[in-house]
Amino acid sequence: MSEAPPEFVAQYALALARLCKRAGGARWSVGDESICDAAWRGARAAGALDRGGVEAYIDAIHAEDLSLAIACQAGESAPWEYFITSFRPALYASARAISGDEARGRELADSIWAEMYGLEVRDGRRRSILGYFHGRSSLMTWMRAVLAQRHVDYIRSQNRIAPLDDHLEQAIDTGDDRGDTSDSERAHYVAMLGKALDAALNSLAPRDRMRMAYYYRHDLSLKEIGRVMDEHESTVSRRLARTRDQLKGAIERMLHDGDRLSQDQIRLCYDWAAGDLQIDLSRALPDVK
Amino acid sequence: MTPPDKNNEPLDAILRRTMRAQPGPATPECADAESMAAYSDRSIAAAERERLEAHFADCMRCQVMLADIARAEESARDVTAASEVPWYRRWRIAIPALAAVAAVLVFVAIRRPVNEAPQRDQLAAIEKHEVPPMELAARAPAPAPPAAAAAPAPPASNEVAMNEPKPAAAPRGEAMSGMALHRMESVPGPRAMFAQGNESTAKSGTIGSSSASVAGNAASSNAEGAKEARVLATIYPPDRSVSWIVGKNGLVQRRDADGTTQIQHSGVSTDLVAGASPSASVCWIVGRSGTIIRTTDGEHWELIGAPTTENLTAVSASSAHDVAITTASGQSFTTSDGGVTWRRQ
Repeated sequence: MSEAPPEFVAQYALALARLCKRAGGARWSVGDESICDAAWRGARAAGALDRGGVEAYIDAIHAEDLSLAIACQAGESAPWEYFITSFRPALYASARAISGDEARGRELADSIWAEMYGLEVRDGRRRSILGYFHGRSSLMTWMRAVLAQRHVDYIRSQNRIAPLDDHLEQAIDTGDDRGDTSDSERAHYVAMLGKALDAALNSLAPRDRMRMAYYYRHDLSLKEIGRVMDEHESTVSRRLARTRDQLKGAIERMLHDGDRLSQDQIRLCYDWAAGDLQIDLSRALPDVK
Repeated sequence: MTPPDKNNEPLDAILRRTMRAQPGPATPECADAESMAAYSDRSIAAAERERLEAHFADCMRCQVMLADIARAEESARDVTAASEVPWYRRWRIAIPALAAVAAVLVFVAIRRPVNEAPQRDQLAAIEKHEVPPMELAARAPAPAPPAAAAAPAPPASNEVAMNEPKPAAAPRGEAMSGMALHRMESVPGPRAMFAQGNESTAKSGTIGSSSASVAGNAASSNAEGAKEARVLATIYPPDRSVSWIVGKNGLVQRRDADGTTQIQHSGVSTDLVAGASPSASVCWIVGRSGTIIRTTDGEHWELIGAPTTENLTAVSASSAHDVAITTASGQSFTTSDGGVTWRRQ
């Protein structure tokens, strides 16, 4: 029985017909009904049914990948064999690149592979995560996103995050009880800088904040940042430099105009924040998650 | 404008040295894998992209995921780019290789050569459109026609008729200019085609009405009863926009209409003796020991599982899926699913 409501199929009949033609479902014995159902599920998940643009959504579906995913989910051997030989090497290579480690990468890829095959059986049917693929992207990119999702969960499970306030308190209390004013003064300057940096970062446009985060926090290369942001390397470089100068100007204006610091004091703020104290400035920024 | 130096200016150092905040748990605003993949592939509408970016700008978790996806994609590109670099441009391989070549040349110069490199012979034979000397010596007494003008030998069962006219022989002595060596991606295994949307011009579908032109020929049989196939064959699709020349040791060379040639990676080392090309992007080639290879994009070859290990002498194809092959002993097999299953005729 078709999942897609009849009104959906009727309203977007032409787009669905184009989709089925592009999908080439006959190659893997995937019927048009299955493809239409997947299109409906995807449109619903993407919010296209509510926000509009369903036809454009359907026309943008990666149809052949969707057809293959549906066939593999059904457990057909021919498409699964094709899937293995075509995608498995790239999946394992991606897992290695994401995890940065051969063994961990293999483990990550193995787990995804098993989930795509569908080891869990419910109501007589294998449940595969391929059911979550609706063709909005290529199948390979989707698998990379799933790998990345698993990897970030793994990172979280391996790391303990120190409570936010502890860092600042530790910084402020680095002096002994005899009242070492220089350390508390340092912490005060650093806190001022942190606050100014926070405000300056929040004033940036989202894409500028993303670019800065990828460059400084995630250590991506200009090429990789360009890949994420869909920009040329030189554009990334130019915009990073411009944003950095913008940040510096905003920070110094706030410290000078708001906190009444002199240029020498501002310089001290930078030096202390960059040098001695291992303050987790990112934890001092309230909006950083 | 150069990017900021992460280590020079104090601000750069601060931005760089802020300890990496760990990604938090997923929130309802976080993008799921499909949205993130669609964003990476630029497969989303502008409005949704802006909405996602407003979240990504402040979400460490999503930033980490996007960064990981970008790393994986760049890594895949680097591997692909490296595999496309001709071997002689990779200095780590080229320098020892050159040294080895120099040693071999010295050895050869001292001693009388016993055997020429088969590949060199093949390429020379291709250039001259002649049969290699070794084959001339090994052949049965009856002279064989030139390889480029060879007509297909009908299979014993003869349900497969080669209906296409013989391809015109290429002019003798025609120079194969611009013969470029390209190291294609290696075929990791059977049916290892990653390419999508392979188009094959489907004909009427009946095996026997092949639109392919086959240039394989069978010589007289030897003492073991096996028919020895001609080594060189030229294969043309109906529109003759491209041709493939096949020969010993898995040699496959593609020639385009503008004259550019390209040695392609067949993935096999057995002798290839005949082929059939129903369209410019689809070509089937058969050879000794049950070797069958196929391309569906005109460039990448995949090994197809054969129903026999006998030497194959002829092939006809009407599509990427419908094919008939003939063995040296006259047996015929057909497939209608691209070689997944075969039927004996």
